[in-house]
Amino acid sequence: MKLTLEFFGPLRDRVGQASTVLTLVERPQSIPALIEALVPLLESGEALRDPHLRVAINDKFCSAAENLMLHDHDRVAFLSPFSGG
Amino acid sequence: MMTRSDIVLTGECLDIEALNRRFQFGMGSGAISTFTGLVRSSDALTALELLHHRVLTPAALQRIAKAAMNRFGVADLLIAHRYGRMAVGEPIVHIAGAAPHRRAALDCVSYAIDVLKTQAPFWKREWRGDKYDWVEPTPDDHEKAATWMETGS
Repeated sequence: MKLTLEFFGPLRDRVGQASTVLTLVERPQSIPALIEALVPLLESGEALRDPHLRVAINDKFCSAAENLMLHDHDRVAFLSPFSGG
Repeated sequence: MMTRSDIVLTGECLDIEALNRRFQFGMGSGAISTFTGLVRSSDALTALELLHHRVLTPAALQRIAKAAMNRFGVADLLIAHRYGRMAVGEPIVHIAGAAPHRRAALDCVSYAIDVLKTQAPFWKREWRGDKYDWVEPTPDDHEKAATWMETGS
C-alpha cells in the first residue's frame, strides 16, 4: 500500500522533508499503529511519536481512537501544534 | 436572523480599511468589535512567515467562525488571516464581529482569536537574516483557548 506522507510545521524540519511516498506491507488499523509502522522507515521517524501531533488523512482530521480504513495512495498529513494569529 | 461569516485567507498584505468596508452587517446590529494582530518588532526580527494547510486551514477558520457566531448570537463575523512572509508592523489577522449588544460583539471576537491561535492550522517562523526559528504555541495560548472551553460562556 503506497502512502503519501506530508509534514507540517516544525515537524518538517525534524523529519528533514516536506513530503515523501512510502510503501507499507501491512495495513495499519489505527493512528498509533500507523505511526509505529512508519517510525523505522523514516530518518528521524521517532519525531512522529510526539503526542501533540495532529493527523489528517486526505484532508480530514483523524483521532488516535478511531479505526483507520487506509487505501492505496492515501495522503497522510502529520501536523505540528498550531500557532496562528 | 440571517447570519454571515466571511473568511479571507490571503498571501497579500491585509488592507484593514478595505476589510472594514467589506464587512457586511445587518440593521439589527448595535455593536461592532474588531481585533487586528500585527507583526511585533522583537530581537532583530527581519520577517515573520506564516505557513498554512491549503484545505484544513480555511475549513478550520470557517468552523471557528460558525462556533463563535452560534455561541454569542452574533449575526456577522469576518475573519481575515494572512499567510506568507510579513514585515514588522504588517497585519497578520483581522477579525470583525457585529451583534445586537456590545458584550456579544466583544466576546465573539475575543473567542475567535483565542481559539484560532491553537485550533487553526498555521505555523509561524521568525526570520532573523537567513535563519529562522519556529514559534511554538505557548502554555498561555493553550490556557486562553481552554478557558473558553471550560467556561462555556
